[in-house]
Amino acid sequence: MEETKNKAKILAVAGKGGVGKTSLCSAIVRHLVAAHPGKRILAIDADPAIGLSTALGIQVDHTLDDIRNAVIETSERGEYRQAIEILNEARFRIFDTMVECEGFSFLAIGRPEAAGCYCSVNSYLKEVISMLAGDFDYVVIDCEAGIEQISRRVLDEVTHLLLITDQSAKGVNVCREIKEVADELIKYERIGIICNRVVDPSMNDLIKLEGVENLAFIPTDPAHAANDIQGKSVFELPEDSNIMVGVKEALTAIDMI
Amino acid sequence: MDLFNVFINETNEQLGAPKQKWAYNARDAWKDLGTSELVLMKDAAFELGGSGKAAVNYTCVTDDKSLVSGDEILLYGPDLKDLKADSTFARIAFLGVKEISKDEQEAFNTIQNMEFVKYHVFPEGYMMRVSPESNREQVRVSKKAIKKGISFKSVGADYIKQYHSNPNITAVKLIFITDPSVDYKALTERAKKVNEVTKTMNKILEGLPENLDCASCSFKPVCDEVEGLKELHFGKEGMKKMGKK
Repeated sequence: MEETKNKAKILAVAGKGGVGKTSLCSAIVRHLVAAHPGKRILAIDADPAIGLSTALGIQVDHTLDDIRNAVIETSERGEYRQAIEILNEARFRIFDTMVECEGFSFLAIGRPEAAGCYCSVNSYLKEVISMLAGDFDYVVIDCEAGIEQISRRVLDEVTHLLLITDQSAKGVNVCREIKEVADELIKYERIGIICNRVVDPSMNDLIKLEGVENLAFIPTDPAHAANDIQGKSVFELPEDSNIMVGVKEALTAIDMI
Repeated sequence: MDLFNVFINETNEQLGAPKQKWAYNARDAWKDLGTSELVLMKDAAFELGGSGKAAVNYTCVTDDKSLVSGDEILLYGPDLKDLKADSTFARIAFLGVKEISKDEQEAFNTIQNMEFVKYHVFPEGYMMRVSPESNREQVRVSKKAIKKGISFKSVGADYIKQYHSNPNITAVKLIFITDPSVDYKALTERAKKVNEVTKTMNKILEGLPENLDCASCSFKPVCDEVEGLKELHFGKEGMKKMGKK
């Protein structure tokens, strides 16, 4: 008997490097956990820079890249495996790699040992998202900076695309580029932009992307800076900090909380 | 098809009489979801094979009716309702079959299809994780399922029901082990050998040279132990010519 699985809300956080994607992503996870107790939430650190685990206060021992390497090693040994066995081996290992925390689960893509291209681990990530999405109610993905994961169709199943920028033309341009590629390749339901680290609110009118809703303008957050330098997680950030308030506003605007 | 008979006999000898035994009744089968289900640790009562404890799985196919005469579920150790924490675990399936094709490739496919039934069993609240690499099978059993009365009898009946969806399977002997005093090392070693037989069959079918010197072949240990593999490689005539038994 076939049973329909959940239709997960899959939220991808993308943008230029250095605009605070990871901090906002961790705040999103915290808000979802608080707003939806009992719901299944999965946070995926898809950025090889590996920052989300620290922001969420998680110790990561294994990553998706470790699983991928183990599977490659088997095939290089010339051992015969049917597709169903490879799939089950991956599933077996994923649950050892997934960290279960209070209110949410966590997976990290990892940093491939080989220098340069991340394509293969990105393809693997796509399969994993597809495999696990039905088991969760919310999936939050902290994407790699730039458009790579969008253009390689890693994020095919994303339902909500959150673009993050700062008050820089470069940041907005990267968001525009991501949107253009996403429009071609992803059937997302909602898209929005968050402007982070706002220094001069009078410039906010310049943050505009056609067809993209402005979800929040978040002023530079001294509380977050202090939290970060002390190695504290997002769960220790004051509720009234700029990031927590701004992210709440953005999630409310897209009916996530 | 007697490739796996040696392992069935060894298993029976090792385990002796079970703590409990049930005849199969389809009505006992636990609800099957038809698709995989995620049981998070926080929702699990315990994990069979969890916390690094032993977790073994293997499947043997035979057409010898004296080895698998009917559908039955055997339990060695405490049942699910009596487990309070992560436990050692083994699940072993002996599948009785009508007949296996004389065509080697067909025979291999049939065996694999029977073995792969385990990937299509999804009892509600009983999340299996199977590693073909290590022959481990771990199971997270949900608190809800325990409350609803899940047992090895009902899970076993679900398995047997699914096995019977393959018309070649005539009888299933399904063994569950949670008794910590069982020699899991021996079971793990046997699981490896069972796996080797399937791998060796595949290698032979892929085509090993007919004039291959057995002494230099990496599959020699498994061929020496398991009757039928050399015959599969050289054929009956070839065996006679080479004076092999």
